[in-house]
Amino acid sequence: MPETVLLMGLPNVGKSVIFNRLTGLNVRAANYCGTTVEFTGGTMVLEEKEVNLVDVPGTYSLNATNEAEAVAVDMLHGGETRMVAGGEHCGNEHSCPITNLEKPSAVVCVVDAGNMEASLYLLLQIQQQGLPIIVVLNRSDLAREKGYRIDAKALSQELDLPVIPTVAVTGEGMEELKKQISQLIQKKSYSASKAPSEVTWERVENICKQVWQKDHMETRTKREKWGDLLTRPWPGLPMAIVIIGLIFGVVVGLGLQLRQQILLPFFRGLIFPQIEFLVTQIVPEGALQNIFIGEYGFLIKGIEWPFALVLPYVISFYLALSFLEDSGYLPRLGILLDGLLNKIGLQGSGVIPILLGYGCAIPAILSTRALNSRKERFIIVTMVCLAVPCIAQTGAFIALLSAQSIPVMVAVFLMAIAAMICVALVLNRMLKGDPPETLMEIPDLLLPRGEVLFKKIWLRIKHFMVDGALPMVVGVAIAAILYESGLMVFLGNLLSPLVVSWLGLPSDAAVPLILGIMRRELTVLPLMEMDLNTLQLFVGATVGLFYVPCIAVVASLTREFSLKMAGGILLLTTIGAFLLGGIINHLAGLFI
Amino acid sequence: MKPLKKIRPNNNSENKFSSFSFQEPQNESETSLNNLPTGEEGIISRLPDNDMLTFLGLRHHKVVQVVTRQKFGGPIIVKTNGRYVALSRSLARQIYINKNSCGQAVM
Repeated sequence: MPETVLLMGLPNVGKSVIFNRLTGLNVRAANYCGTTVEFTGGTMVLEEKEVNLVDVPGTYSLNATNEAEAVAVDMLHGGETRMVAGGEHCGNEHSCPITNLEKPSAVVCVVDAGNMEASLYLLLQIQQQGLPIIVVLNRSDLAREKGYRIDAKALSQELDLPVIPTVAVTGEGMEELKKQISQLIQKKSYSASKAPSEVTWERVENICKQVWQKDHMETRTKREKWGDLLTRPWPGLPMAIVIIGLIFGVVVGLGLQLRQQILLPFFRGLIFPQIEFLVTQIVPEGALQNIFIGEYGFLIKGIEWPFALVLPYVISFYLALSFLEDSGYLPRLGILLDGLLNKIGLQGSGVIPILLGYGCAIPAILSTRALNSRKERFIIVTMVCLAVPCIAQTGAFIALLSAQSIPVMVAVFLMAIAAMICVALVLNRMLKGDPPETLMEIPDLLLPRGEVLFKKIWLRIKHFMVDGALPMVVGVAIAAILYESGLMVFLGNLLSPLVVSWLGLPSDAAVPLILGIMRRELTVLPLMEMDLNTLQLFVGATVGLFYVPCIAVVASLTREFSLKMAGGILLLTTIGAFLLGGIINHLAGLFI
Repeated sequence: MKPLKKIRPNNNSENKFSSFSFQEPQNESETSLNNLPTGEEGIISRLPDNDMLTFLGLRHHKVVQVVTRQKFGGPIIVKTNGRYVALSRSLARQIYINKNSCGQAVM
């Protein structure tokens, strides 16, 4: 049984970055509080010995005042611990799920060099637990830049603990940390002599006085000035509009260019002719050949849809999102909008899960764990499931609508925002719970590091390939089989009262409705092949937008909340989609 | 200088949910953090019992500076010990400040 070492510290001090450095894994790290909402275990090899490292979500204290803290205390004591694998959604194939945790052999306590007082308070509390501790003095570069000088030697003497200054994002100090961990585990002796009997702020402040110095008076770095400007209503609010516009431009513009200039020509010009040539050589003409290369031929559409129509937007969106995440801009955007969001029962911090939802609803649902109240979680999750299209679906909307009707595309996105506000207003009235009380720290504004960004984007693309593109290929294959076997006609007839009479769509549109349960974008993409008029496009897009979240989302709703919640969302989205789609169809019918 | 007793939150409706009962400032130089003008600083004299406040550096005798106030009744941003904290107006009303005699406006 390998020994267990816990990685602990305040929120947003770089624990996950250190975890990734030590284990070679890739859990999600970003520049705001609450990125890590799950315990992630990983193995690191120290001098040929395996050590189990656990990335514990950030806590301010061990007072066990909230669930995260209570679990952190549990972890310190060992025994049964709820431990889940995976940083990003659906789990990381390399991190190991551990259900029963040995009492840890040591704690690596990450101290923020720019926030010594709160860090030391937690450190002293951990010290009381009587475990061997290594202190990591992280973000020492940022502290230096601000003119803080921390005497690591004095700190080490004062606490009677080893102290290692590090800069996790560059890897500075990591080798030393590995050496220390391996020494500590081998030695196994620990004197608890200096552990404080009581942790008080006075004691913390006394230690700080001895080890923490400010070099000069109040010099504001460029970074701080920008961080400050972006947080003030003026010029922060107009700049927020510019930044959101830029992001939208990058996502749509870059995605469109990638698609039109590179991916579509590549597949249509180079790959598909080869596939068609091969298949016609091997498979005789008829139903079987059509399954491969016919109308829904999964070797054609099954490749074109995920890799030429959706992938470009996956790339451009995660480029933009990763930059925003690591820069520390998102909490600032949240603060600027906090007052407005309060009016619909939310806090500014809610913008983070909503934005994540434009990528995929599952990480959005997980990230709501960092929110304060269950009511807020509930409202945001409902908003995301109902009206926030995931990036694959957004790519599908753009593919369907941009060529035929830009106004319809704009209308669909505006309708989505209106629906989100309505849902929040209604749920805010319906659900019991205190109104939100904002109290949060605003992280430093940072310029994201190229290699870190690149790695993050690459991981997310890889993730899309496995969890997004493959199911899409399978979905298209199912459609091809339905179509060629004649089952489609049967299904079309069966659903025709709903699809044809109520929604005014061709009976073929029954297929995307069935495929949509598997993947959200599959409610939209098949509509491209149906020569719809503008009204039909709008109705189809409306139904596609509000229609059931994909099967993976329903599963994660059940896990995070309850089967009842997942069922409720399913019902709400299905009824909402058909009701609205039908109303639009019939209302427009009155005027046309 | 206006008598401080008359200083009330501008928008009482914001406070309707708060369980906090508005306490009067105890002396001439004491005011609630919410009433401290933007750019000025002061020393915390009284604050509600809230662990989160202490972890974010808002404790007795700490110097805080109001950096900015958000629109739409949003939070106020204060700076303490080189760190920025956003807190709602209703929380800010519960924190009392002794105005720094040499408080300077830093914009």
